[in-house]
Formats: sequence, C-alpha cells, structure tokens
Amino acid sequence: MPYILQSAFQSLYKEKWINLLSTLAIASSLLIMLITFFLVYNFHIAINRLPELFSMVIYLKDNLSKNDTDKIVYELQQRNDVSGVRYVSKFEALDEFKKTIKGAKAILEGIDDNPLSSYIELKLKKEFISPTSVESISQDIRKIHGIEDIYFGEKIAETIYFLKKSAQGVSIFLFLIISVVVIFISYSTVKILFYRKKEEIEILRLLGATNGFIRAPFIFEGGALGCIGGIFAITGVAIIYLLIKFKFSEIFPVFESIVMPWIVLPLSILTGCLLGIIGSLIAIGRLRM
Amino acid sequence: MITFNNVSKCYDNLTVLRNITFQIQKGEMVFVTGPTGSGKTSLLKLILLAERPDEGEIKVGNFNVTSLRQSEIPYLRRNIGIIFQDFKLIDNMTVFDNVALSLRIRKAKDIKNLVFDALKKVHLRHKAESYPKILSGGEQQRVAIARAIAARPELMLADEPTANLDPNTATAIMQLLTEINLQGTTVIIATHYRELFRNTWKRIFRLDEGNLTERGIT
Repeated sequence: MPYILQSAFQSLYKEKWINLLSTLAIASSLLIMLITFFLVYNFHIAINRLPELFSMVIYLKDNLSKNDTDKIVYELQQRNDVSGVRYVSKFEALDEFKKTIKGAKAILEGIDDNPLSSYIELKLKKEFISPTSVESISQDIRKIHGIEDIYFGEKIAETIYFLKKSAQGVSIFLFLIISVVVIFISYSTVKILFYRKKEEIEILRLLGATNGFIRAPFIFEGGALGCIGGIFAITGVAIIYLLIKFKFSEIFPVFESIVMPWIVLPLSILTGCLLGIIGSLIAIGRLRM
Repeated sequence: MITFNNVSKCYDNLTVLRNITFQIQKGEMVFVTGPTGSGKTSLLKLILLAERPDEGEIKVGNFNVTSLRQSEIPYLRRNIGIIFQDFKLIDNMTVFDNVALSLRIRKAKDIKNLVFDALKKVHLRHKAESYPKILSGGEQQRVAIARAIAARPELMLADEPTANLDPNTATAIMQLLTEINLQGTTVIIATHYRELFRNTWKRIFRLDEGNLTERGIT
C-alpha cells in the first residue's frame, strides 16, 4: 500500500475517537442538509403543480363576430408563453354559472338577457408565471382588438412566485451554511491531527519530503472524514424517508406522494468528501521547509 | 563537496557563527567540535538548510544553498543522510518502515532489498518488524544510521550521534560511521566528546564563541 494511504489509515485508526466525533458532526450537518433538500424538493414539486391551477381569463367584447373570435383564439394559441387556450361562449358561461349557483337560482329571476360575456381561459407556461411576466403578458394581450378586460389573479401569481423563490433561497442558504460548518469541522480535526504529528512532519521535512508528500495523507484523511460522514448522513435520510413513506403514510396519506431524489445520495458522499478536502487544505495551508 | 565562504549566523543578538570559511572535499570525514552551544548544530542546520545564513555563501555539491528556493530544499536534503542525537524515529512505524521512509520520499525502487541491505549493515535485520520504543538507545541509533545510509547519500551529517549511548555502543556507532566513510560517503560529525576523534587522523573544526579554528590531523 502506498505510504500516503498507509499513513492516512494509520492516523484514522490511531486517532479513532476524535475522528469518530468529527465524522458524526459532519454526518449530522450533512443530514440536516439532506433533510432540508428533501423537504424543499418535495415542496418544489407541490409548488410546481400550482401553476396548473393558474389561468388568465380574457373577457371578449359583446357582438364580436365568430371570425373575429377565431382570430383572437388563433393569435393567443400562437404565443410562445401560452400552454392552453379554451374559448367559452356567453351561453356556455351562463350554463357554467347556473351550475355554480345550483341552489340559488332565484338570483337569475327577472333577468331575461344573458348578462355574461364570452371569455377565453388562458393557461400560461410554468416559466412565465411570475408577477412581472404575467403583468406584461396581460398588457400585451390587451392590445388585441376585441378584448374587453382581463382578469389574471395577481395575488395567486405573486404567491406562487414567492413560494418558489423562498424555497430556492432557503435551500441555497442552508447549503452554504452547512458547507461552511462541514469545512470548519474538517479543518479543526485536521489541524489537531497536524499538530499532534508535528514531530513526524519535522522528521519528514528533514529527510527531504516535499510539501505534497507531507500534505497528501492529511488531505486524504479530510476527504475520508467527509466521505464517511456522507455515508452516515445518507443512511440516516434513507431511514427517515422509508419511515415516512411506509409508516407515517398509513396515518397521514398525504405522505404517500413524497419523493426521494436518489441521485442526491451519492452526490452527498461526494459533497462530504469535497468539503472535507477543502477543510484539510485550509488547515494545512502553506508548509515551510 | 561543501564550501562555506564568510558565513555568519545570529539568533536575536547572539552571533553563533562568525565569518566561517572552510572547504570539505568529497569522501572526507570531518569532526566539528566545541562546547555545548558553540554552534555545532547550527553549522549542520545551515548545510541542511534547516536555517538560512545571515551572511556569506554556502555550496553543497551542485547546490548553491544560499540562493536555493523553498521548493528546491527537499531535493538538496535527498542528497544528505542525517543522524540526530535524539534519533528522530517515528514511534508508530516499524524499524522497516522507518528505514523505508527515506526511500519512499525519494520514490526509490526495490525498497525492500535496500532496507534489508541497510539493516544488515547495522546488524539489525532481525529487528525489522520491531517498533523503536522496544529497542535500546544504541539500537535506535543504528536504525537512524540505517535510515540515513539506505538511500546511499553522498553526504552524511551526524549531530552528536553518541551522546545518549554508553561507551561501548558509542565505539560501535563510530566504527559504523567510519565504514560508511570508507565506502566513499562524505561524513561530518558534530560532537563534544574528544574521545570520538582521538587517534582518528581526521580534520577537526573547533567552534568557540562563533569562531572556527581548524586543527590538523590528530
């Protein structure tokens, strides 16, 4: 076995208690990161379904000819921000209204003419559902000849947009914070090990070892701590996921639809390893001969 | 092999070496002597570039030590075998691994044979799997010598190599160093024990209050 690996494994074993503590601390941090990601991911899926409920209602002017109406529908269908167009005539609108007020038909008594306008229900593509783009799309559509008014529920668009951005913001913030925590734990551990091995390092230097030769076992050690921490963390999150999916969902059926992005698990080990290496590199810094 | 030209070294306001000039030829054996604190170790440290001189010029082999860059220092040290007063062995490594270390640093090939060869020369082949702590002082020093000679350096520095050893063991160690020198290695031994260089017919550098005086062959 190469000296670098031999030295790193020896140190991992020799300083097993400090290494175990550091690994558990890294594992806890990565576990928090994974749980947050897991929650945000599922939250994101839920939020992504919300735009399907969002629609823009375009009221058309009365007495618009069929030809003009078809032109408007065609023009809307050609837009690249639109995912669906549904035309509802004023008669269909009245029928829908009647169905809605099933138990209170008295409201319509005495009204001979149909007071409702024909309208077009417009579904926008997900990426265009933000307060600014919905506003600009509505202004654009307003310019089309034959359009009376547009209702687009700014509040809904704003809420969807806010929730999406918040979830992303929280996950990025937590990722950064926890990355710093993992780097710091790895940094502290390697620094302690480095001081404990000071005499050995001095001997290596005098025997002609290069910086790389001296640093490599410490970098390997930091990487190993992060890697093992990552393995502990993914084991923890997998157990939590399986418990929620198959145990809690019996009591709360809403949990049946939760999803675990499995690709994140190997990536967590890699992230742990990488952060561990970064911590070690900072801890060792530049060595003087 | 080694040239010192008007070399001075100070620690704070204390001058330990003052305008030192000498030359040591390839294959020589030289003793550096003087009372404790006279600068013997500092002189060896300058050759090894564990310290840099304040003034003057030092050449070791093909290296101009004075102007050597940090990144080149390991390559200078790889030409030098060094033996310390306190042995400087790594306790959690076996005798074999301690000796192999200097070879691994040099990315040498056939490490196993070179290590056993070196251990044979110091009569410790049978202790290859032992750990330094269970060895006697003399044995530990012989392991340090094996480590120093394993890579077959051109130059060997020994800093008080017999300081912690009984007279018989000290004589055995000196015999070893003489044998190494006879094989062509330049050897510099820093010691304050006069007995070590009595009747050796070698050059002796005496350091006192920062000044170096050279005595002829005794």
